[in-house]
Amino acid sequence: MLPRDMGLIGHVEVALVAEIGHAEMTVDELFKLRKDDVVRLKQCVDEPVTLLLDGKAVAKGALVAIEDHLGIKITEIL
Amino acid sequence: MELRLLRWQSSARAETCREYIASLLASWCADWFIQTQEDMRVERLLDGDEVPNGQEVQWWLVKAGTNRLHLAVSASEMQLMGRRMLAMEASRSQANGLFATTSQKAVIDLLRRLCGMETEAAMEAEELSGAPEEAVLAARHGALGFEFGSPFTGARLYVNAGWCDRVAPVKQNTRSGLTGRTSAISGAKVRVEAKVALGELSLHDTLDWQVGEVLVMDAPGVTVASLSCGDRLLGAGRLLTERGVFMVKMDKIEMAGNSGSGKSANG
Repeated sequence: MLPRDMGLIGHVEVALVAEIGHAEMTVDELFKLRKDDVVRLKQCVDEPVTLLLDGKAVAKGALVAIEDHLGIKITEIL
Repeated sequence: MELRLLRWQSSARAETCREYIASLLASWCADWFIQTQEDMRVERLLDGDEVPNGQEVQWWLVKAGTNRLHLAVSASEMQLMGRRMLAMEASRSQANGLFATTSQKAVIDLLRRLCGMETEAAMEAEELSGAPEEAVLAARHGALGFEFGSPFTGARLYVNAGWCDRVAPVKQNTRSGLTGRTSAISGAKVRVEAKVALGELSLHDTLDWQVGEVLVMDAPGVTVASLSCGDRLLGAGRLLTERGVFMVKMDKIEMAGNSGSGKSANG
């Protein structure tokens, strides 16, 4: 077995995604979805978002604006 | 109770494919068999993931566009087929090479016809060294298997979903009309998830995360959120907020047939 040395794989880059929230739509609404339509999510801006590392939930955080960049302040490590 | 594998294609679609193969087999037999009574027929639709194996079985693969055809036939049946094509006696064993070559050419020609190709140049044909991966023959991936033959010989043909689509196209519902059975589920609710790609970072960086730390997104400006349903991407748009609630204004729809401007889609 390889030793659990993160030095071996620490440089590997993984995709980080924030799961903002969800909406419920009927099948009919889904098929009628068009450009410029607005989909309203069930989440409020002050609710925590889930951070996914290659699809796996690893942390929760709050969206923050830092000048014109979006940021996420980590509130919980899962 | 016995559980049986589903065929994953409707009976009507499979029957259309079977009829198409049967009609081509008839003309192919007329062209290749000296004695025209040697008609080969489609005997049956293979059940589930029924795949022949064994060293005797020769596998042929033809690719043409999105068509993928696999044919399995035993070496002895290939020889017998060639012998019948040339209407020669079984005792002429010195002609076995000729029989094999003839049936090989005939089989390639059959596959070419099944692909709807006028010339061999438009397709790739090869003899495989062994059985293909089961996945490419599996019914759950849209493949259909047919056994065809005559009293003296037989073969198994596997056609992929791309071929089925060409021969028996699936009827598409028009955008404005959820018709028939589909209309019954038009009111069913599905969960649509919104995600924002923040960029890539090294595994090493993730080890240093602490509560209170702020991760800053790579790209400034508009925040793009993608909408997905299960593992299917529906589209993407700008992430907005209104009265403290997140919204996504759609810029791009991935589902075929949806375009143009619209209105508020969900509350």
